Amino acid sequence: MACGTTQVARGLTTWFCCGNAFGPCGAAGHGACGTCNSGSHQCAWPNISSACLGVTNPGRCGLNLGRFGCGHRFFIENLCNTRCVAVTIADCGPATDQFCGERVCCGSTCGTNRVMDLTPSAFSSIGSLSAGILPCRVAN
Amino acid sequence: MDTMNRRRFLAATALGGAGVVSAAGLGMLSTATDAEAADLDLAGQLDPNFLEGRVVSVDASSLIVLTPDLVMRRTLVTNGTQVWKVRDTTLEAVRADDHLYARGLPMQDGTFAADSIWINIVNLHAEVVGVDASTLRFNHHGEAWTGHLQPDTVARYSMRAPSRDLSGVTTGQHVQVVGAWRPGTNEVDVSTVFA
Repeated sequence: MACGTTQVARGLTTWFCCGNAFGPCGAAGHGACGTCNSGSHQCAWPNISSACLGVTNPGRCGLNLGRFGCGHRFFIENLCNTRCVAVTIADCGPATDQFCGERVCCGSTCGTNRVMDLTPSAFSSIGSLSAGILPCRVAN
Repeated sequence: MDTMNRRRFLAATALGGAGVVSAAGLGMLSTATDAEAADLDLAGQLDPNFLEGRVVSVDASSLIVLTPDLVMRRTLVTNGTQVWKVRDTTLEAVRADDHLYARGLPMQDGTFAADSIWINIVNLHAEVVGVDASTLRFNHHGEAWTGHLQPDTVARYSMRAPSRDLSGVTTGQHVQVVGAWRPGTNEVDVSTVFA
C-alpha cells in the first residue's frame, strides 16, 4: 500500500512528547493546536502558521515547506523500512533551522534536514524510539 | 527479527502457543495485522497498541503500569520483548517508579502484551552549556539539566558513523539527547547525542 500520494517533503523525523507525559515532558502541554498527546498518532509541522514559520525557519536550510494547519493529515514513511503511519498536525516544530544540513542515513538511504516531529506512539509504530531520528518521506 | 515478525512471535508467545491457534479466538483485541492497518487508520487518535505510564511494580514476567488516565495495566513481558533502558537490557533493570512507553497488543482481559518497552526514554532538544569527561550540561526549555555520559554513549555527527568521541559536542551547540531520565530529577543517562 502506498504511503500517501503526493510527496510534501523528504528529510528527517524525530519525536517529541506532549500532553499527560512524564518527567521532562510533564510540562510540555498539548502543543500549539491544543490537542497533542504522546499516545495519539500526531505530529508537529514546521509551517502551521506564520508565527510558527518564524520559529522553525526551514528557509534558512533552503527548504520551502508548504503551510498545513492543525488537524491536517499526513502519511509518514520510514525510509529505512518502508513502514508508514498516518498522523494529524497537533503542534509547531521541529526546530529545523537549528540543525541545518543534518543528515542521517541507514545504508545508502539518507534524509537531510528536520522536517517532521512525531509523537512517541506515531514514531514507535514505524521505528524504535531509541533511534531518535529517522530518514522519512512526508506525503498527503 | 523485524517489527512485524516480532509482533506475530509475541502474540503466539503471550498466548502460550506456537502460532497455530487463532489469536482472536484466544482473547487478542487486535492482531498484528490489525495493528499494521491501524497505523494508517488512527491519524489523530489514541493508539491501542501503545502504552505509557509509571511502573508500580515488577515481577518475573510482567509490570503493573499506571497510565495517565489512572488505569492499572498488567504488561506482559516475554523473552521476545525488547526492553530498553539507556541501552538494550532486560526486565531486571526495571524499577518501580520508572516510566515507560511500550508497543504491543492489548488482550481481551485488559492486559497488554509488550513487544517493545522503552524505560524512562527522553529525546531532548537542548543547548549545550558545558561538557567534560563524564557529564554533559545543557539547557532544555530554560531548565538546567545534567547528562551522565556512559561507557557506551555515542555522538552522531551529520554524515558520520556513531562515535565515542564527543569532542565535537561544544558549548552553545543545539543538540538532541536520547537517554534515560532519572525519575524525579533533571538528570539523564545519555545514550546518544545528535550534534
